[in-house]
Amino acid sequence: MLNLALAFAAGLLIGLIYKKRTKIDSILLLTIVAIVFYVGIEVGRSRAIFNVNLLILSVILSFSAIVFSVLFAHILTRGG
Amino acid sequence: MIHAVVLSFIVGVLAGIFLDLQLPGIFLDVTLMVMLFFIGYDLAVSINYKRLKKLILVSTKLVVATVAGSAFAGLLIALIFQRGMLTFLAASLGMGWYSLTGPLLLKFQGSNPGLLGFLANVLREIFTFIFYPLFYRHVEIAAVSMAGATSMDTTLPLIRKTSGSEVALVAIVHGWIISTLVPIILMYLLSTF
Repeated sequence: MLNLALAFAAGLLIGLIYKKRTKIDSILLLTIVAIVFYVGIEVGRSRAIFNVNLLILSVILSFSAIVFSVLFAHILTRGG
Repeated sequence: MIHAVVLSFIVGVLAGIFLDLQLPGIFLDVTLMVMLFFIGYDLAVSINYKRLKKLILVSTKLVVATVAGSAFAGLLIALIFQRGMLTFLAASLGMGWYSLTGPLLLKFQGSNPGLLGFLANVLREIFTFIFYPLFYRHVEIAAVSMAGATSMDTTLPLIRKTSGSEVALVAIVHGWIISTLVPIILMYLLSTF
């Protein structure tokens, strides 16, 4: 957690000093792919995807949590 | 982008199942550090500081919505499927933090709840990777709530790429507050009831 906060703070600081715009989209894509690959390995190693009942319940639970969170957020943030 | 995300997930799952591949924890740490460094840099050179106060207020509203929406979903699904309310509430209130929710539920409630806590929160992260761009097109900044605790780290590059620097800042504040709340809420729930 501290490492991540420090990396973010270092980026902010260097950005404030140099103030030079750079394209970071390809770096972001690379990090997304690396993170998702890591999550995939964890899921595969846990063999969790073979427990079908739990998998179905988890899909329903996580998707409901997403839908209700976004719905409430939309209600709260509507109109600024 | 979605093709790259889905493909890397499938390759990761197959590598985990068939090769029992285990990457050192430092792999994820370094990737997250690189990503946060560049997002911090990008934020510093592009943010409009006059809007900062408003963005922090929006983040707070999103936190309330994320916690309330997750809790509501957990209770609703437990009622519909006639399952343990506490297990579903806790699994849902993990808000994407699978590496914490799975082990905590395992410790307090056993292997199946632990697996549910792990899977439901991994899926929240995966669904965010898949559906965030679609949700963002329809509800704009409210879509950040779907990412839960992951909005400050793993799903942040996607949020930044889809929605820009200002929403990335909202996502960081939102994810940071949620990440602080999740251990408190889960420990309270699981040790009290």
